[in-house]
Amino acid sequence: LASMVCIRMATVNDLLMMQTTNLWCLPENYQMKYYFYHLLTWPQLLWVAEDFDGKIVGYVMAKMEEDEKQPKHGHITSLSVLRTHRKRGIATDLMRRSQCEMQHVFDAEYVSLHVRKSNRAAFHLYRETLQYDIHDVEKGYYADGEDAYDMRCDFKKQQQQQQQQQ
Amino acid sequence: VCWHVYGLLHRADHNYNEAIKAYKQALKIDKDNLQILRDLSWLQMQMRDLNGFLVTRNTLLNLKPNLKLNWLAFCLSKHLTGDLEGAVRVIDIYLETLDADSPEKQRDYEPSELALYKNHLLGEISPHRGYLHLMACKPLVVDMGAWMLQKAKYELRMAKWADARATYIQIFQRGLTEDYRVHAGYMCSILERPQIPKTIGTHTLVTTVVLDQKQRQKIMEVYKATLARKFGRSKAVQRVIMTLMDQDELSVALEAYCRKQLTKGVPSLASDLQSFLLLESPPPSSPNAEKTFVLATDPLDIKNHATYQAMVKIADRFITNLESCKKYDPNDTDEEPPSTILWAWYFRAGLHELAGQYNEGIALLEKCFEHTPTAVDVYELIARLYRSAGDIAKAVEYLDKGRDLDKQDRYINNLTTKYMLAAGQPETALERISLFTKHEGNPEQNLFDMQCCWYELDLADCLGRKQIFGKAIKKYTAVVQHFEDFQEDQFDFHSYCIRKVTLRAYTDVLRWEDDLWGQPYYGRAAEGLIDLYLKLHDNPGLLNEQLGNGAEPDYSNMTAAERKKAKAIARKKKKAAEKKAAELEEKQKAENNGKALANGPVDDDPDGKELLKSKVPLDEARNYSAILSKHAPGKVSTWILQFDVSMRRKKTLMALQALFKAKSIDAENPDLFTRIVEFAVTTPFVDENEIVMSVVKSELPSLLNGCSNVGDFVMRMSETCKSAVETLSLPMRTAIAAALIKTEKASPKEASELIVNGGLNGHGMTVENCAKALTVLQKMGAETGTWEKIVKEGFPLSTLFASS
Repeated sequence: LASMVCIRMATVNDLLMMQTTNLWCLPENYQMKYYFYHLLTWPQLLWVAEDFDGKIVGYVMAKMEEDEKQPKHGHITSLSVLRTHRKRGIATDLMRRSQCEMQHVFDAEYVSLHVRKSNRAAFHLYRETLQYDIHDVEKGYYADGEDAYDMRCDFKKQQQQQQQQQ
Repeated sequence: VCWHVYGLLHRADHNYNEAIKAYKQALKIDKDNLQILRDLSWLQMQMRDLNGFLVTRNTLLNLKPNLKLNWLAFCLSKHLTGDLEGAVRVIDIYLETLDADSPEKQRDYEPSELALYKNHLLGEISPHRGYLHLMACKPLVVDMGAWMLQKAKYELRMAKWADARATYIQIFQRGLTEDYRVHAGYMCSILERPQIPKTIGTHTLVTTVVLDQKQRQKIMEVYKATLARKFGRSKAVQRVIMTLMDQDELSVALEAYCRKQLTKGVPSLASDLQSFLLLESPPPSSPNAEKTFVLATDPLDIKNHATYQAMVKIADRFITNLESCKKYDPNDTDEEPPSTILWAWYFRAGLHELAGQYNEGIALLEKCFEHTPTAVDVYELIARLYRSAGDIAKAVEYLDKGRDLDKQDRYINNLTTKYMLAAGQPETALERISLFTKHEGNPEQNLFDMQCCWYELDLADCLGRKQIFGKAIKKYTAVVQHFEDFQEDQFDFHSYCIRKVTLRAYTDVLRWEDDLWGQPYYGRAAEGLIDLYLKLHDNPGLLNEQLGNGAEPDYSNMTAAERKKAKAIARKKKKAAEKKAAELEEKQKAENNGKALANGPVDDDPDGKELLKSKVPLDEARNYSAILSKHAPGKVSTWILQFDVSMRRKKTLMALQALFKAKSIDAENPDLFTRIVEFAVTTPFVDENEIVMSVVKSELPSLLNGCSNVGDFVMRMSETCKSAVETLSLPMRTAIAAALIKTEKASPKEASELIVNGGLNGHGMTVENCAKALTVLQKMGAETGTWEKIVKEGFPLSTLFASS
């Protein structure tokens, strides 16, 4: 199934468009400085989906958590794909690229993220396609009071599962 | 200490130049003060005083050579002042100060970043040295993706074609099959080209440069033999192969591709396939430059494109079959699910849109509504078609209905807002977008805090069209403020990035910041501001109206006594108005102070009146035009605006230069043509000094394509127009018609024929351009009924054109 978007690592030239894409998809928004902060700390973890005309139609912004008490792990700060570009597997591709860099560049053992309890499409992506597990429920995590699933994907476990499948 | 504190205060106020001066004074007294030197260095970087930065970092390194940050900062200062060898040497000397078992020399993130940064410097000096270093530092590197990409680039530059090919395969294996720039590089290794062309999106070498049949075949063979085997599931590989096919093979592949996408129900299929509609762009100016491709966007070009015609055939056949037997082809074994026909109609409507066939598209989408009234995508497309067909109000209606079906979706909410702004409904637009802003406080403030440029620009455009100048200027200025914040944002990262050693990303950001004012959002804001300020300059009475003073009386025809009396009355009126406004402000402030605690900062000047009062329109226009000339010199609109500003400032040579710059970018531009005519008609009659006039006299003929006077120039364009009326753009026809009147070379009837006789044939046939043409016809006093009839027939849904 041909997807026809370019999946590549983000550069500074993409940040303004990523911010716009975020404003068109999600109610959780960030100032540009936060985008700079991610790009300038973990450049390998930011990926974009670029359409044929150069428009950024999707992105993933991730970081490494600096928690001494836990094993090294990454965290997905924000992920979104424009409504017009659904059903192309773009979100999956973006997540896979970022997760790969988390493992190989930053030695992450697992990656975590938050997702709205009611967001069935996103939950399906994480649970079924990307094989995240529910780690916890965070009550009232979102600004409008909605609960979040705190989900995790353990990389070693994922590798074992993939090997078994093969 | 006093100077230091003074400097800190200036820094806090973002008066960086003043802060630098203060710090330098402090250093005269205490030249080795580490804190002051550090602070000064970041200020110098922020202001791009790179030589100053070099000196300060040199001092700091000598004072504290045991600090890693001082070494890296000094290295950076060498790099940015152009001493690449020096920068590399600094890194080497630093590493020599460390033991072999130092953590800086082990495989980890920071050593890896430093090695790759050093390699970037070496690569700039020579690919050979870069390559050797890259191979040597591999054990340290954790960012293997970047390492391999750099290796491949060196191999291309050094003509190691087979090595490059192997490296690209490794890059694909790492998972980068969907990065089309990697494909572009791979193709270069196949065709033995050392330089990868700059590409955007899903473009590769094949779709950017016009290659010959042999070259295309060579790439195709390699892709089919190697990549298709190794990476069979890669979407990009399949797509690249499609871009290499000839028309017949492509039609077959497109059919298979469409089947999959329609069954799956992918909404973006039509826009997807548009990427295949490439045209060879006009031959390049220099004979040695390669021919390139450009995307077809005008309906005329699309309709004539062989691949488009193939897509239409496929879509029509599918629809016929799906409607009759629920299969793509009668010989298919299984029936398609009920949604497939919906997406087939939707796809065909999308194809109609590309060809400018809005009515046909709308008819199909009506069928979609009957089938599935809840398909939000259909509402989006039908709205877009109605808008293009000239009925924005109807477009808004549809979008709002679609939005109502999915209140959780911000995209459709934003789109509805956007269309409402385009339809001149800013109040309802604000209501819609507020559904997604944070619940506390003023939604416009929240959008400002989140730097929501798209909304502020669209709102400013909307208000500008409604002649609400104050608020429009305020909104454009808000976007300018965001960009000023973006420039300010980098400040903390100067020290941060050197500590984190993410020097490649950091230097990229520095470069980006240097050209911040060339960004499209800023450009739109600046262009919007120039447009409004020029309007205010041209019409001073307008400014007074906007400020609520009422129109100024015309003093020119009064006697001295009358003038004195009129001015006294005007003064009294103004005072009364100001008193009233002040009372209102006090009342507002009292209310707001109550709200302020709950809602955060309150806008003192929501309608931009204070902003308007404080600005001199032509000065503002000039300032923004100067920035655009410096940072967006590649856009023809920059020079059109520069011309407009320069003419009003009576800067003849600057105006002339702007025309030449515009011509070098887009010689066929209708706005440029109009201004060349304006210049040629106006300038010889303006009182100017001799040198200026002699320059104008010698340079003007080349602008007039060799003609000795503007009348001949316009006549010649008119002749070209008459013989090529079918392919010339409507805006150009309109511009030539207006020029014929301006140069008094034709009667209104004759000039109007240029517009009317071409009908709706040619490029640029949009409702907007038809309306502009109508305005020109009205201005020249020509008969408009025929043109209105023609447009109404071609765009029956348009609300701008009355029925005949």
